[in-house]
Amino acid sequence: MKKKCLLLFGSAAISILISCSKSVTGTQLPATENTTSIKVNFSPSTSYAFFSFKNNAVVANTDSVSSKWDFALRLTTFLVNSNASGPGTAGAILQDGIFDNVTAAPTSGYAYDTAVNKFAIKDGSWYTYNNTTHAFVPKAGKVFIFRTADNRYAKMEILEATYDPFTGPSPDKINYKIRFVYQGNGSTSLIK
Amino acid sequence: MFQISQFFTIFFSLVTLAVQAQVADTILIKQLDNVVITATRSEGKLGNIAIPTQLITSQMIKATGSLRLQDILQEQTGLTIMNSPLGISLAGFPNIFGAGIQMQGLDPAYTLIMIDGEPLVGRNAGILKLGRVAVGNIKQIEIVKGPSSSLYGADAMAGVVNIITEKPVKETVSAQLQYASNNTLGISGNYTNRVNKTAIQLFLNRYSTSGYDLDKTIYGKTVDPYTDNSYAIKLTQYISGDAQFVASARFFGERQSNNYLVSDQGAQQVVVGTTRERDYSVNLQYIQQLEKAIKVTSRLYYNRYSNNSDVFVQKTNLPYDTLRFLQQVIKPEIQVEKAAGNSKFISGLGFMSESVDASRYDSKHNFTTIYLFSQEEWSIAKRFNLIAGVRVDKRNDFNWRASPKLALSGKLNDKIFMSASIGLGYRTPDVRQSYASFTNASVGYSLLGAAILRTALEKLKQEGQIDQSVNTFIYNDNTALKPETSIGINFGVRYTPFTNLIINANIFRNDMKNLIDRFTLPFNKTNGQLIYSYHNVNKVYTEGISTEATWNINKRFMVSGGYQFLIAKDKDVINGIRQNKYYKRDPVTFKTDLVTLKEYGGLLYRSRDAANVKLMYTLETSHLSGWLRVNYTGKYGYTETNGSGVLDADSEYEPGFFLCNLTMSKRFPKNLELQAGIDNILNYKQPFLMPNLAGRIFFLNLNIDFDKILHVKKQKA
Repeated sequence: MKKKCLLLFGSAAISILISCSKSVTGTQLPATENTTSIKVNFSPSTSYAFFSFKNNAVVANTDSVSSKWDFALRLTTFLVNSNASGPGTAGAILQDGIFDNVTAAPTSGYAYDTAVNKFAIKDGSWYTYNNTTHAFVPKAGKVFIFRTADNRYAKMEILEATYDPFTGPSPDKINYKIRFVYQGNGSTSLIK
Repeated sequence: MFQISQFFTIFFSLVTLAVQAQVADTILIKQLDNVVITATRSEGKLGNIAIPTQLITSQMIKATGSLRLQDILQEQTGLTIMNSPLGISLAGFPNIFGAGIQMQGLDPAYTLIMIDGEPLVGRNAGILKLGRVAVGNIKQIEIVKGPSSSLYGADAMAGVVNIITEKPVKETVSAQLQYASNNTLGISGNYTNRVNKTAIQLFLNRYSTSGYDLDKTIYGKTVDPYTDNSYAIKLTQYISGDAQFVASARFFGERQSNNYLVSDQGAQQVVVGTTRERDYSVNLQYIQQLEKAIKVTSRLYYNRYSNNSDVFVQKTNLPYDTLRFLQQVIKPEIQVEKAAGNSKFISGLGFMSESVDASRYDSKHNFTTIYLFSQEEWSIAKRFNLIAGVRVDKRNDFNWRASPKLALSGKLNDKIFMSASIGLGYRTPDVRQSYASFTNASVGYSLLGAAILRTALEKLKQEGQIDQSVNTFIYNDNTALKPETSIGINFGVRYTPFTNLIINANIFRNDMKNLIDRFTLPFNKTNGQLIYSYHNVNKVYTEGISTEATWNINKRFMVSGGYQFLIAKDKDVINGIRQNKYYKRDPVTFKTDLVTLKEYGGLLYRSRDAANVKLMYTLETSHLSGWLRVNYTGKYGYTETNGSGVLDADSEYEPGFFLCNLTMSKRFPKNLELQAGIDNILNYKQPFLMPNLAGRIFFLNLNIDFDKILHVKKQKA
């Protein structure tokens, strides 16, 4: 048992060493981690918020037909920038697990928005909504892995969904607090 | 939680005291001699029944002074009054669902509610509104716990509540007047008489209230004003040769004035209107005692329930919402009972024709069920009792279903009585789950019944409401849902160390499968909204222990206490947690981690602990009595906060609460009784989760027995 542990520890150390040595040469930068908030319309019919991992920002609506964004969000509907939704090459994988344990993005297996209303990320798959208490909570342990609109990789999790203060029966804006790790150099490594 | 432990320390020390007491009072033992009928469909003594049965006598109902069935059931060990999860948080909207009974941890939909052995129909989202039953003419309420489908068929999965009305034996005339908080006024009149071979009973009740408002920040009252009217008539004709004919009819009508705020495309407006509920039933019975102890009962039952609501925009007087609901049932049945030596055999054959028509269902639906039941009861060596029974049901749209039951009881000695039973229960999917066809007007989502899913989806597709590329052919119509089934086991012990002390304990376990749950279809409507339907998924279990002790300390004091411990969990969730499929998120650090089995709290709206203590004081000499009841409902889960999708965090629970009720009665010579009481003394309110609790209520009752006046007059004449 002890031997196995040592072995595992050893191989982990080697992989860390390898990634370190690579970054020293300057060909590979470690991925960057950010926690940010995206303000999204609480409406199934108004405009989406288009998000760019590279810029860690929502891009202007006028850029909606460009590769400047990776995913877009409105209420609980995700768009991924490729195929039916945009000119980019983005794709998404939604998998179960602990965010920190995902160290690399796969090179294949990404889903796309194949048609209007046929989305890569299925509505209802990543949150729970209690229709009696109206508690709307992003599921824990849902890791979104993205290939971005320009063939980079990122992983993301939604930490929280809160509403802007509102009067009347339903909110106007949801604030999604997200954490993501973006790898900007084209490699699949998602180690910080 | 400390209150509970204190409460039990006090309670059990009282019980210990009782062991040293030596008062020969036989009231309690007499209670065990009461005749009950529900558990076996034939008359038997409460003390000998092998199936867990609770009895609420008319004396107990009268002693509470309450006119509402809900209040009376709420005080029973092991029964919890739960609001429909659909009925909570309605923000001033009228709650059409009402509150129902949770029994052995099962939702209200799984308990059959009957009047004189015949089921009431007209459930809204599984809940039968308890307010439909007026309490003034009740002889007793029998509560049978555990699957009772072997005698009563579908819906009796958790158990049965049978409300038995009075049987007139002599001339009585009585009236009751109640005035209570919230402008509540109750008037009841009761007349019974028996002249030669004819007995008659008349009952009428009017109950009106202004309702109440638990949250002033929300427009509209929590409960809108309503007026109930109930009438009942029962005629019994005794025919020579041990035969009798019983005809009874009852009517309940409620009219509620609605006034609430709605929001249409962001604009808020006040709507006003009326909700009318009507419930008629007719019950005809012919009972014939043939020779050799054969009893034949022929029955014909009809029940019609409607709930219609018309709401208009206050400013414009334009129609805003119209709801229609109508359910009818007609049910002929014949039952044969044969007692011979040490055994008793009953068997019955029945037919039930049901129809449901409602504005939220796709069309009118008719169902017919034919059923046959048989049960044999053996008494062995006068100490043991064995019951074996089975019922087979065939509803036109489902397969044959057999529901067996086996029960055994035995007197170990004069003081210890033990019983064990096992039975299968089932519930056919309700009309909403099969045939709902409803699109929310303001948000735009759709709810479609499982039995019409393909047809409804194709229709939406034709209308362009779903994308043409969606394959609707993978969904099926016709009996897409299977009945929900359960297996229930009960094991009980009753210990009567003295004639004035009874201690009961019942351990139960229910394993249910194919429970019907709502699911989201994997594609959206073109308006971006979701489509919901129903499927059989959940496997859940409930288990626990229910204990009760009643002690007649002396002629003045009677004390009783009850406690129920309950665990109710979803087996699929347990397996999922074992397979590391459930994650939770720390609300502060946002760190994700696996949910552990220890953290999993089970199904929502179930209290692990529920307890009650009742203290009755009677001063016979001055005709005074007081009854204090303290009910505790432990904390229960109701929401989701940490991303796991299951109940596993402290913030997902609502704290437990106490309901204390006190009734004082003073009887004046011969014909008058004055009752004064306070319900919910501690003024517990939970507008969001418990809108059915009105806060503190003061009431005053005047009970008059005219018959005694009449008798005095007659004697003088």
